[in-house]
Amino acid sequence: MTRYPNMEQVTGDFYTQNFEKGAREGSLILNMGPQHPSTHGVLRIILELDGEYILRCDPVLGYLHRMHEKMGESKTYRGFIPNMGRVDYGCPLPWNWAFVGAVEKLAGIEVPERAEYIRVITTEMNRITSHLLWWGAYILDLGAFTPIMYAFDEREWLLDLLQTPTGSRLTYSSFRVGGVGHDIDDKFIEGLKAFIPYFRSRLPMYKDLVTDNIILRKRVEDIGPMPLDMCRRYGATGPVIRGSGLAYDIRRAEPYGIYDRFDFEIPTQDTCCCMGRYKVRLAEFEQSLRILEQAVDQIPDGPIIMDKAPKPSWKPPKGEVYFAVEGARGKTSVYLVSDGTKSPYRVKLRAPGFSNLSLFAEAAQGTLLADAVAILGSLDLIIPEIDR
Amino acid sequence: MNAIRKNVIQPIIDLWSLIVGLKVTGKYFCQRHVTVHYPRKIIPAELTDTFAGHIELIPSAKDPTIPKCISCMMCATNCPSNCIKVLKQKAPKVSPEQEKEWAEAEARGEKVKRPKAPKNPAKFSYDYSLCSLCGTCIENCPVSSLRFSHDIYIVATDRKELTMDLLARLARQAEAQAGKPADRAPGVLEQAAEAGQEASAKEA
Amino acid sequence: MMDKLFAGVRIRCLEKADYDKTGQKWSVFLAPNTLLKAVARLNDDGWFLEDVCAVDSVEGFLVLYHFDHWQKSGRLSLKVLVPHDDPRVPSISGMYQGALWHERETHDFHGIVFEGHPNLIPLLLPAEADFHPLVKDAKSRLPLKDLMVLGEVVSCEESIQALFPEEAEEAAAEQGGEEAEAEAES
Ligand code: SF4
Ligand code: SF4
Repeated sequence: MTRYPNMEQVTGDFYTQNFEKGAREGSLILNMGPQHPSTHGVLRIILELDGEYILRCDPVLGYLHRMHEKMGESKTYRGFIPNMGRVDYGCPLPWNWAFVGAVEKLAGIEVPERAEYIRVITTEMNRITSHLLWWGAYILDLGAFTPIMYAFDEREWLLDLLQTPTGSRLTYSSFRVGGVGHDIDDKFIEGLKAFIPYFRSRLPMYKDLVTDNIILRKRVEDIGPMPLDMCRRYGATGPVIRGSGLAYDIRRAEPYGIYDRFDFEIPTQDTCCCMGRYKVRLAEFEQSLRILEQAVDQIPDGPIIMDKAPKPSWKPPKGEVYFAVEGARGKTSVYLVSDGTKSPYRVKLRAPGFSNLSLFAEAAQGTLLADAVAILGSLDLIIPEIDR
Repeated sequence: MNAIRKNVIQPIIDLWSLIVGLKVTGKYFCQRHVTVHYPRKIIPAELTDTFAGHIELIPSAKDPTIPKCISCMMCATNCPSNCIKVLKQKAPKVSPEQEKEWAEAEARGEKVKRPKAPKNPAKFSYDYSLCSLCGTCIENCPVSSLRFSHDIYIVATDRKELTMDLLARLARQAEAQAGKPADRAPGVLEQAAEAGQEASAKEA
Repeated sequence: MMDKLFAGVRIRCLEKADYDKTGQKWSVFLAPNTLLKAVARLNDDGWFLEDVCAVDSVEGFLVLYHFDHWQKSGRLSLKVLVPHDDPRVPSISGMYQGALWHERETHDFHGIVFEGHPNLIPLLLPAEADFHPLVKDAKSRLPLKDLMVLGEVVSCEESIQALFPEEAEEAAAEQGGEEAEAEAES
């Protein structure tokens, strides 16, 4: 210790100091992040290491905190929708849906059929793009560079298509209270119809290139077990819980929109390890494609937004409402309290990643540092969503 | 037996998985490449046509340099990010004699037609750096005078450059269209150059 | 079913909420000192925690715990009303470790103290932040009756009922009024 002449400079910040209090004699405290590539940008994890093994760890959040909940209290209902596009850049449409769904539930608004179908189609496409991004980035975390290129090939195609109903490539905010903002055209449908078989034909390639690869398997199989009870205590949802063997999906458990019309399965894996979560997400590609196929076949003509859709100065009735949807990362929900004025009284955003990440500290205890990276990636973290 | 399986057969299977992966890589290595090498190549226009970039004004049917806009301020008041500023035109100056004449005429009980301010805006400035591209302004414009542009190539080295004068932009577009009718709006580089000139002129 | 689940726990108010309107099936008002007992029942019954949050109102902070169940469909919210000057509730993080972060977040945003929380330091706000952004000023606070309605009441204490005076009639009148307004607008 005396090697450092100026001790003040190496004492660490508040969080490090707080963490150090419980440190064991002779262990090493290490800060991973907030600029570490495998913590996806701005997550910081303080680790206490004994050699390569993790004794204890504590994620530090807030580097991307924007206080969306406070913004919600000062914006109109229409004006808050763009925020939903920014909460989770990977999969913003479920967030859109959670918010407009909550408002619609509160005000008892019916959405036209065609809009419902457009919502399903765009959301499922968004789920695929989100999983593709995760897939590429996860393999990248584990040290393989090429797969993200393959993932982005498909992802770009989908983004090109998604540009028609949303207008953007990343931060979609195309849902409106009472419908959607943009219609889809025949060209879009044709493009989607061409994409579905193409993507299907690429999935075996994914398996050959990555899933069966022995290096990947050694890195993720039996790593990071998350038994169901642990998931329950932490409130984990989405692929994390399905990778632990429970077929829990909001689209089935608490159907919203028109999801009860589609025939799809909820893939599960009961290995509880990183490989389980990995395989669940890959299997969800196929299920999303199935939903897309049915939706494009069934989509009716008609209006895309209700008559007399709410104006920016619209006021919903008073009351509280909780609305949950299945995002790419799990249960995405919005709790809204309205006081009958133009802007919400309280908006609470329940981010699935938040609960999923809180599980990490327990799951990573006693593992190797390199395995912790595998566990972290398998949770599919999007930091802006966790920090909100 | 088990030992053989574990130490000989399994490693061979494992190795084989790597070769399968290499085959995939090899196959795609020989295929055409899918990335677009910007700026030597750009993506086809049909892909940018669905992109919703910054907002722009739609010209009226009569005059391509004048927007349909009637300066009603709906867009500016409803924008959640406060990025639009519309300045209404003032009524034309009236000379005192004229004013007097009208007042007399009115006193006589005649109907006087005083000149009204033109409806189209005097200034329409827009700050792209604040805009969240939510489309509220477009949805709420009573005369459909706004739309998203398809400009995906916009670049700026300074935040100030992102504050655009949409009327000037409309005039530029009209000019470009008059010059070469078949062409699209002015190219990226020309626009950037123009913007730069404007900015430096302002500073000077 | 809820009566059985909470048998022996002193509940201030148990109501069946309107799922189609509020997205919740049950809502339960509790006193801070019975919270842990009720949560323990939920834990034994296999419920999982969705989130913890708070709403600022005239009567105090309403701390909300949303629970859901994997097999039984239904959302249950526990509501604990704590005064502004001494907002304390026991931490449920002993049973539901997921609450560790939710409680830290609620502490950040509303300044609610979760007693027994092992590590109640700022989570999303910077460590030096000495404000609670979601606490409203006295002027913009609204009474609870303006924010939520009681559904079908199963049992209720006077003190909670008093917060929602003649809720049924008033709500009906209000709704009628609003519809008329909406019609007038259109
Ligand atoms: S798109 Fe939205 S943020 Fe942008 S100028 Fe229009 S109203 Fe404002
Ligand atoms: S809403 Fe339309 S008409 Fe009104 S000021 Fe804006 S652009 Fe002009």
